[in-house]
Amino acid sequence: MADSPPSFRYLADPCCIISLVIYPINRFYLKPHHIGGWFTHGYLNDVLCLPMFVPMILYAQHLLGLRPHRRFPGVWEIFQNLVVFTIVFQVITPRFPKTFTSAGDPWDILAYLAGGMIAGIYWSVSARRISAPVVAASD
Amino acid sequence: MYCRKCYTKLDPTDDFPRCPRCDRGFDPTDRNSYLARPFPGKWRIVWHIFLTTLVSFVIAFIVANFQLAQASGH
Repeated sequence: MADSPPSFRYLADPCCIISLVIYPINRFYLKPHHIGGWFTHGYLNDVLCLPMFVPMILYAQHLLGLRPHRRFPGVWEIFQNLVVFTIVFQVITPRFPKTFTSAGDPWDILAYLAGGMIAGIYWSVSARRISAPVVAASD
Repeated sequence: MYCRKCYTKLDPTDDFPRCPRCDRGFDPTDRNSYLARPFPGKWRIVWHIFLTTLVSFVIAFIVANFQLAQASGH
């Protein structure tokens, strides 16, 4: 099993789970009670966006056979979803205010980027940590 | 010479040329039936990017509709 790639757990990934826990706390407690100021009110959910949805999107791709392996998300996959979420939430939905509630805010893109970078660093470290004993065992 | 499906190295001297891993058949005399290097072709990469981006767009629009439902109290 020396060539086994690192095993990404998709929806059970700790980064995704933590984001799924923080999201409702922010949505139903912090924001209504005005705790945390402008950051929790305007940007915390945007920071959580990629850590939460990249594993879900990659799991959908996995189920569809587009991502047969279980490697940790790569820089390209995070960047691809950053671009898609930016287009959908900052370009498309603000043009249809009667249909969608999203209001375009360029700082949201920075929040997506920050969340994506934090998650990307975590996944990169996790991939190295998991693959390290395999390499050591094969020596 | 590599398999077009799983990129496994192929043996053109086989009597019945098939990929040993995925069993896909190939013709050593037909360059379109195998890859010269173990890497997906240009159109396969483009198609993969298109499909994965489509999945991302579909999920992003589901999230946008979920936000709409939340905001409208449904």
